[in-house]
Amino acid sequence: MNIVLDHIKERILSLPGLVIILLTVMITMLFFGAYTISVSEVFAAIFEEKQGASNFLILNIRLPRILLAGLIGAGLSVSGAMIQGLFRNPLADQTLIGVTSGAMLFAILSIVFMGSLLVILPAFISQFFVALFAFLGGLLTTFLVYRISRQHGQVQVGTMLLAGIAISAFAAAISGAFIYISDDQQLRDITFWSLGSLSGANWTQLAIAGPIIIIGTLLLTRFDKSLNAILLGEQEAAYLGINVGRVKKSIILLTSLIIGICIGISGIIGFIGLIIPHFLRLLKGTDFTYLIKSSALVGAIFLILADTIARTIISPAELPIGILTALIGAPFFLWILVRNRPRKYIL
Amino acid sequence: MIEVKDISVRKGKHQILKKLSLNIRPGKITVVVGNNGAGKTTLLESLTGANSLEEGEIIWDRISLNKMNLKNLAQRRAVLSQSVKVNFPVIVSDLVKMGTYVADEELSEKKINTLLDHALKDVELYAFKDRVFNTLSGGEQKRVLLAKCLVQLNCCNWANVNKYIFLDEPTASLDIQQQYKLIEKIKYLVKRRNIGVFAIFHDLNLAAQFADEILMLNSGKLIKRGSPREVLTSENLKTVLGIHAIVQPHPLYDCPHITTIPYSIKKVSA
Repeated sequence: MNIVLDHIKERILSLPGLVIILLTVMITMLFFGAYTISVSEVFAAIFEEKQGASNFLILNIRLPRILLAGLIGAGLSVSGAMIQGLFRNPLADQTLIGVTSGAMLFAILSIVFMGSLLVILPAFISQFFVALFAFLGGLLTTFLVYRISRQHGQVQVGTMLLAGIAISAFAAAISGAFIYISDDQQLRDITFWSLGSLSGANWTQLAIAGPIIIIGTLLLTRFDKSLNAILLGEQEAAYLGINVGRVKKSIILLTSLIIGICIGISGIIGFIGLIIPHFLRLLKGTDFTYLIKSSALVGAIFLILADTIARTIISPAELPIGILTALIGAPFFLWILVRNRPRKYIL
Repeated sequence: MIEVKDISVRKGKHQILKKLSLNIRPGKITVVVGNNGAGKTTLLESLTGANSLEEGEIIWDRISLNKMNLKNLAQRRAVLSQSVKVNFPVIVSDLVKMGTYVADEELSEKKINTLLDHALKDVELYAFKDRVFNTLSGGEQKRVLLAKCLVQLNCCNWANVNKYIFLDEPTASLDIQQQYKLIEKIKYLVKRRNIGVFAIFHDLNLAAQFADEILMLNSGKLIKRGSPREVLTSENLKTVLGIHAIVQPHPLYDCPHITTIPYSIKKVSA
């Protein structure tokens, strides 16, 4: 019986298996929402050119939203895996080490200072602008935390987490000050960002986020072996002929770019970067060749499912997705902290 | 041959190595001994290209070390570090396979698995293939890391290129049986594959049995250099390492045997 279960587990967790699950989830979730749509209507909307309310709902609201949830889930999850590899620590993730706060702060700065400008500009450009600022904030904080927490070639975990707390507090203070002076519209925008939501999903956002997250993730998969070697230590990686400095710079840049675009578009959706890679490592070990791709797929599946819950659980109203992921993620994080029982074998 | 010419290394304010010259020959075992802080590890790091030199030059089979790129260097030498701390559940076979990262082209799955199986059998850990690295004992971890080094040295076979292995206190966390097994293993490889070995040892008797040449280091300077019999004399042990010892011929092997004497009974030794 165990052999059969193992076999099924292997199949499900293989990359083709995950792709099939992702596609199934994407199609199935089209049916769920505040407004009931029949199977035939969904197929009609996708395959026939027809006008109508359900048609519009599927093509312009549900489909882009599911795609965006998938992209953001993949982006956040891959970034988490990358940050854990870079810091050589399974507890690191963009929220805990303050990168999210840094990106958020810069996004708020751009909203407050360029609010009037953003209104005039076309949606495409203004969203890109906020995302660009979030990227710069993310880049700056990743770099800062990395420099602060690294001593003699080793990342000091305590310092890393404390630096994350300090940076988050600092960012929160400045954000608070801006929230205090912001007007009603800005306040709404900022609140939206801090809770995280995919409710504004549209094809414009997909056009910005899609290429960056997909190309970014594909570029990151090239560093799989380097990250494996860095797990043993930077010196060990160098002994294996890896140019650690260049690898780290590329990873920090690409990861910040992905985090920035995710936060710029959907606000703070926490803990995905922590939960998904951790879960996959428990099941399959820490081989980045598998971990990067599987994190992207499972992250996408997770956020599509979570977002479906968020938009249906208190329908017709919506729960901000950031609240939901934190509700799942925070206890999970505590569980990791408490779980000090040494493991002889992987699950 | 690795030729080290008058190298000095500084770390921050401290001058760690001062004008050191030595050679490491393929097929020979060079062991460095010295007290803590003598500069042994820094010397090892410098030879493997991890430290920048303040002055001097390291020439690696007629190529200057600073003209060699990291990958090229990694194909010529493997380093067995003193300890490696991994915070993640890394599976033993995944870790050992990392040795193949130094290959120029992507190796076939079959080739990688052959290298992996050979290396794990060499260190007698084949049964541990699917275990998680950080659940193993210190000695087992050391042998896994050695297997990784073997894969690294075996994965690109260049007939005309010399290969070297650097060992930083390889026997430190091993039990006595494993210490000898590891040393026998390395000796065998050295002779069979003509690999050059540079090793740091604290156990002088292991060093005496293992080494072709011994380097005695003190405060960043090379004090003595020669065969175990020439270097490991009670005079040298006293002046350089500050220990009192009786040095006798080994009952079985052609090397000295050292019996250290605690300070409290040093009068007896006289």
